[in-house]
Amino acid sequence: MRRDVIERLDGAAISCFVTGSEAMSIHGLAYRATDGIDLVIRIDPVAYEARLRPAFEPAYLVNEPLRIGHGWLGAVIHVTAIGKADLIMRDPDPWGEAAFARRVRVDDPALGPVWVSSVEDLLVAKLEFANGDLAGLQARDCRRIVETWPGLDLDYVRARASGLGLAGLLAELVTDAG
Amino acid sequence: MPADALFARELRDRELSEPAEDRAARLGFATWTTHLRVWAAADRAGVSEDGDLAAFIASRLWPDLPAAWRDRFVEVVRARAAEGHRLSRPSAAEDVVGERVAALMRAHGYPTGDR
Repeated sequence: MRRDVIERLDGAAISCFVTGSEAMSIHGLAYRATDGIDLVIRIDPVAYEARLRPAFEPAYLVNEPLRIGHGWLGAVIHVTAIGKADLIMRDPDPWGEAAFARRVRVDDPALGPVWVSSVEDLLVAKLEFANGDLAGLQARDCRRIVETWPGLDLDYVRARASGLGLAGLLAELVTDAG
Repeated sequence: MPADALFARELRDRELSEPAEDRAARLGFATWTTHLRVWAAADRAGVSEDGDLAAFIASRLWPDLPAAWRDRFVEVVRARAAEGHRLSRPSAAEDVVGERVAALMRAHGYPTGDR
């Protein structure tokens, strides 16, 4: 289902990249057991109904986008298979643009060639989703990135985290991770 | 009810009613995929020496493993490599999830590698 979702977005000329736990897995950073996938997509939410919905129906159920945080969240599930794709449409901002520019192309054993969030932008996204909670799953993933990723560009992460008001949380997490 | 909540309930209901063999095949594929991805990540990171590979794989697959156990694992892998028994990359799902689950994966149409 995950590959199919990406192909349908490609077919509708909607740029995307994988983020969240699927991106953690693609980067070889974590095991995952769910069939969900989080995708950042580049589309004006106004065009969601006209461009995105027709690319998925009737094979998928498509929700109406919901306003969440700094953007909109859409979702699709296959009509029968177990699996869901969350579609993140971020409001235009410097980090969102940078994250698209820094996405990396990976020839993934499961998904084939696919655009994936850079590890640095994945860390920023997970910091944002942690919502200040350093004890939760998002923070655990953040620690794993800091502890295990060679050559992590912490200067970039600090700059982006600062722009999002997350500098203090990042500093705490980096100290915590040693 | 918001659409995303409806989706969550729908998915939960599907998972609860999923036949055991379907679930085993689906989770087996997730496990197999994870191993492939970790090896691919090691390739991208240029990790090739057996001991380094063992340390890399252990840190990614079993991050909560005590450091002493991980170090012992690396020692054993290096000792075996010195005797000519190199760490072997899994080439088929059987190598990771076993014959039964690999057969279920195949029956459900999941890719299982070369065997």
